[in-house]
Amino acid sequence: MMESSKNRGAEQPFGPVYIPLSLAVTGVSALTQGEITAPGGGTSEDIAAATDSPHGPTEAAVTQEVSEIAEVHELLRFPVVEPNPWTTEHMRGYLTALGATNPQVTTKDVESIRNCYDQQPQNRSYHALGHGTFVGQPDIPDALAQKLSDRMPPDRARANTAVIGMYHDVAYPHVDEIGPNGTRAWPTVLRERINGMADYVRTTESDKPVFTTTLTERGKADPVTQLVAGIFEVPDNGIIHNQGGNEFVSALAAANFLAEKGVPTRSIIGVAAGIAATIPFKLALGTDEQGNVTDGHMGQLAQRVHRALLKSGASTPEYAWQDTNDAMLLAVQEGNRDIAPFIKPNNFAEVVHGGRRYYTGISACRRAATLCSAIIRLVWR
Amino acid sequence: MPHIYIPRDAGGKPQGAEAAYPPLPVHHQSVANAKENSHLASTYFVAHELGIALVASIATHIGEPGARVPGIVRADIWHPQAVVPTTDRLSPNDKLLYNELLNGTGQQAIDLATPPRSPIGATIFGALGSEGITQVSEYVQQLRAEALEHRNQDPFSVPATANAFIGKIRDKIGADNFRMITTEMHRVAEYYQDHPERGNPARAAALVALGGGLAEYQ
Repeated sequence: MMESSKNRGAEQPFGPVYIPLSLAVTGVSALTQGEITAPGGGTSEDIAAATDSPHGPTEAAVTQEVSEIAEVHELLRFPVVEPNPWTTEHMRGYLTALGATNPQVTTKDVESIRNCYDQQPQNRSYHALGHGTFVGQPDIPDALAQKLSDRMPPDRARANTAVIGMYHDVAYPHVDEIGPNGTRAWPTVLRERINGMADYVRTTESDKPVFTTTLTERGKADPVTQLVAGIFEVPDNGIIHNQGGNEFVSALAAANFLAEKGVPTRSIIGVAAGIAATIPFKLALGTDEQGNVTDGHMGQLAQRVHRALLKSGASTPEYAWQDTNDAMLLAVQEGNRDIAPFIKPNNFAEVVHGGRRYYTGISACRRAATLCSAIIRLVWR
Repeated sequence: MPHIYIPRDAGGKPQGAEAAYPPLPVHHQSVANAKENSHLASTYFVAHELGIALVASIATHIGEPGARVPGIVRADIWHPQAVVPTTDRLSPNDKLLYNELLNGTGQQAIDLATPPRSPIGATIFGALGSEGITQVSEYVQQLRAEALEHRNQDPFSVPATANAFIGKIRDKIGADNFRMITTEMHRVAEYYQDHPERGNPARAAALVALGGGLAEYQ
């Protein structure tokens, strides 16, 4: 967040923080302003009825309707049920719930994840330990639990979301670049988890570092790496850090960890899908040339998850869509939790707070923030 | 962008919007919230950065050794009775922004970043209202570009450039508003004079901002 803050690709001369935030809502137009016509299956009518399209009620009417639904507030609340999930006891419990054959973990196992967010010197501004803790909450709202199949029991669902959140930002080189040459864009603990299955190259475009992750020859032959790469649709020439590359690396690290602990492939796919759902600035829903509602990021991701479940043998054709739905429902929950500061009502101050922290970054914001950070650092020294 | 997923049936066909998670009304409200939070945060930073730019220029303009000009001021050292007479005309959202600019009410760890009571941004915001902020901010950018050009021609011309800079801003926002802003600044300056133990790196900071910081725009 920032998102929100993750994608700082928009080149603006004044302020690196708020411009990307505004990009976060540009995709809304297709849903709230587009000409939505019949897509089949009744979906469009329902969507139109819930939007301010010409075929639906006014925005004010929808707002009134929304205010009457108690679950709206419940679902937008994003509670913190476990203040500190970074313990061996918690991770052991999560692995057990995910079906691991070897759920034993050491302190180093847990700290290797935690340290990606919290290593010293701390150069993360937005996505530090608190963010990993928040997104890594083992929380399943009742409204979500009711939609899950009996193949996804509540304990497994909670473990799934916790692991997704704890791993989802372990790779974050475009903010965490420590040295001027990006030599530590991947922390040592992360590199160990990647285990030579992928590597990155750093280039510069418009004076900004660009990290491109590609699979190594070992990675191309490794089933777990191939599984994750398929879910992320990693092209042969690599994946850029702010176009899903960070999330891919994070998911690969998570998948390697889970595979090492003997977690079944179906759960590994679920975790990778959840981390893929945290890729920022993706359309929720789209429209085709005829104005029909089409799948957005989650729908497209579901197709890839479905393929991965079948191709890996983690699911059968009979259950593949059911398993896909379970994975995607949890994924969308985590994707939304990742951007919770933006979603929560009346919460701009928290967004601003993140931006303020961002301004204090050393190498992260060299454009307009120079003006601010120079003053801040001098005033506070 | 808040996400939504429509589950598929056994054949892979979407089951319909009523099956979506989050429910469509929730998604709609999430999108609306994201828009509003982003808009307010954006306006906040525009006002805040505009204030910093103005402080930098005035600090440079003063140009005398040990000039006492505030940059960003911590809550415990800012004058507690800062008043902007136009706040009563602000909309509810603008009042939220103003209070955040001045008091940092939403901050969770105030020592981590910009401190609360950033009076310059708040004062400008209150004086202009949020609608004028973006316009003035664009104008400041233009002036900063001009300052950069001057600096390239003569590295020692920054104070003169700042002088013109200030004059243009004054013309832009009006003499009364400008006077009010500078009055607010002087309050803080007086505090610094009364509390020399606080130090005064603001002038150096301003020079960094207006001079070295402008290198960003080369």
